[in-house]
Amino acid sequence: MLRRFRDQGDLRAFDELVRRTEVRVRSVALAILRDHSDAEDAAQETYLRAFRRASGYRGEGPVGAWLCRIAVRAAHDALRRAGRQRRLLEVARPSEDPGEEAGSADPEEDLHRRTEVESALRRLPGDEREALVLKEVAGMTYREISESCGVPLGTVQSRIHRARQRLAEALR
Amino acid sequence: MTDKELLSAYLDGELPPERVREVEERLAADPRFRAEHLRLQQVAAILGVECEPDPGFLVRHRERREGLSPVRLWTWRQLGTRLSAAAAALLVAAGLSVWQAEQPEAEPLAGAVPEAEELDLLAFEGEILSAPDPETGFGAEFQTLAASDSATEPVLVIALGGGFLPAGER
Repeated sequence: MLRRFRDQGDLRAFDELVRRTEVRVRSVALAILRDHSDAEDAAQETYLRAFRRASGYRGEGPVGAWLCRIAVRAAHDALRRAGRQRRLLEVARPSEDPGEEAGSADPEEDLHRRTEVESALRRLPGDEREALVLKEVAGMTYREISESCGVPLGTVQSRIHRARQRLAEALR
Repeated sequence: MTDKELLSAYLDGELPPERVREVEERLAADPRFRAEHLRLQQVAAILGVECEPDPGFLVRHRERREGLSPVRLWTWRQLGTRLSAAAAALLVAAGLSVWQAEQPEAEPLAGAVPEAEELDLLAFEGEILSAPDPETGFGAEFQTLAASDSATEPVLVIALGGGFLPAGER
């Protein structure tokens, strides 16, 4: 679809790409920004960047991975612009249920844990946060992240591992 | 690979089948290993948000992109071709300009066929190729150099009209 838009200027192909990938792209942005409105803006920014820079897509790797990478960058840019270092969980969440295995019986405790992890997420170095979100939210493989970010496979693995450990520390 | 790295790769689905079996056996047997696994799962669950499909998103995207056009990015090869073409065109233009500047200035032609009164002057400035008929005064041929508008080929003017006085009467 992106190739059809890039090569033939087919706007319907680009619309179809947006329609098929918007959930994933918004989820990636939301994982970083933790706010629906900010995530919407970052996701829209992602597609505008993709629209303008479609000719920069060389077709290496899946287009979804390419978009997710742009989404991570757009979300990081939004964080930088806002200058937010810490943001507590106050707004409605896209998924209030963190999952059977991870949840506890006490909703307050869940909220506290979530807040701690999100706070820790913001403190992560950008490259670790990027790798973790691409893995956890975008569902990309190590190899896809490696190709997308232009770093060795082992580096991706260690970035994800370090990020996960830092966040796990917040749960202790 | 440490236990934590092993668990991390396990959660990511990046372990080969034999390592997966190894992790699952340890999870069943080792409470500390299991606790660590649970902690990492909690992190994943908190991060793993998934939005619902939003049909309005595409509409809003179309509104935002209105008036925008894709940026044309050239590859180095395409850029090289275009720069070479531009340089070649510039060289040709510069060469033409120099060449024209070096040419002698040409006077404009007074007309396609000179008036009879001017023929003496033209003949004086140019080269008489054949004398006019002494009876009629017709048929004078001469080549003018100064009135030429071409740098390479002089104009041949053939006077066919009357009024050109024979040499003896001038």
